[in-house]
Amino acid sequence: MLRLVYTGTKVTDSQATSQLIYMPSIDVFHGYNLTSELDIIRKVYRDGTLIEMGTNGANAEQMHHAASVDADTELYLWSDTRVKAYAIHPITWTFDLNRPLTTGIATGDWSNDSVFWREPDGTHKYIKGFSAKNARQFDVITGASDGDFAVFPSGPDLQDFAPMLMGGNNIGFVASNTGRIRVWDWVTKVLVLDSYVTLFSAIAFDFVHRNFLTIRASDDRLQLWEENVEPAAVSNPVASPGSSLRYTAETMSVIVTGADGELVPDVLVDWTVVENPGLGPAKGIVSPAQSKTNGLGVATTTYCPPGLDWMIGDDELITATVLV
Amino acid sequence: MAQLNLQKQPTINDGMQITYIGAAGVCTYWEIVAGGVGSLSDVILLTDGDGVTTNQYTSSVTPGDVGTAVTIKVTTI
Repeated sequence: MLRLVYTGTKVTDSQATSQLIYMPSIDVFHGYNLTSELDIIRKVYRDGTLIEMGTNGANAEQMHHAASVDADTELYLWSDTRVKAYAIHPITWTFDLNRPLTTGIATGDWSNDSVFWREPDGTHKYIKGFSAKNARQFDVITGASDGDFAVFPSGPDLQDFAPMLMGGNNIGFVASNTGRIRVWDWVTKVLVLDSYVTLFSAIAFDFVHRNFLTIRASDDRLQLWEENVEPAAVSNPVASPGSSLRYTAETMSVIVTGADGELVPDVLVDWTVVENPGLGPAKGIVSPAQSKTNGLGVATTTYCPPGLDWMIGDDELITATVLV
Repeated sequence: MAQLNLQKQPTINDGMQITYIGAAGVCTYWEIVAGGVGSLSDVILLTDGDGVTTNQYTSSVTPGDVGTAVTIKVTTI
């Protein structure tokens, strides 16, 4: 589970806000309903306030795919009925039907499980997940495939996951039915995050402040999440070589995991040698006294046993605690 | 085992850093084996990646101990 920053107020009209997109230019979220006949575009503030801004104009579009493009200037929405995307004016928030973005991508490839955006060079790109657990990138205009950029070795099909832009080279895939979030670096093709949030009806990523904003499915309350996994458990320390000799250094290691078994990197672990009841104060030391987990959630330190002070029957206890 | 002889305690209640250089990542055990005056801040230290570790010796606070030779032993395995 990711680290929850706060649970906010109930969104006043969640039924009309099934989709969220972060708009960095105005530091606010854009919300609209995927299938509602209303198709109203709104500003969504972190306190739960909704402000109605515009509509698709004809009340006939079924808007599906949205992305803020050029990072901060324009937002495009996809119309299934017209098989085109239209720019949303950043001031009036109206659907600009005079500036359609036509595509060469096959109609069947447009679905909820996709996202598109404009590259700095002006080309529009599109990513879609497939049931074969691969995500493929297309050139929006020509429809040409740029090839697969991510392949999940196991787990649910990517068709069950909706992609979302996360800034830089990262793209996230989220599943509202499980709350699962998987983030890939599409350059290195490395899975950089695999965790969960509480079940949601809508989600967006604020790639300026690096937070997820969700509307909780159970009660329509806004929730703000950090990008980092909340540590939930620390394994028992393991000694290596484990010889238990009076002068031999032992490498101690623990694994820090989240509530869903995720490995938690970059958290500080505090190591202590504690007194065993009835045996007097601790005699050995650990160095360093604090260490951070690596990419596999492993933190290590070195334990020096009591040496000269070691006595038969001595039994020291080494503890590891995550500092939050 | 390494040994350091401090021929004279320079003055009372004075601090002195003592550095041991050996293998990297080993436990070092420190003790005052002769003279018996003053104290060490740590009795166990781990050498760093360069095999270096430093302890702090503080001389006696008793004026009568001035001039007492002290030997500090560092043991490793």
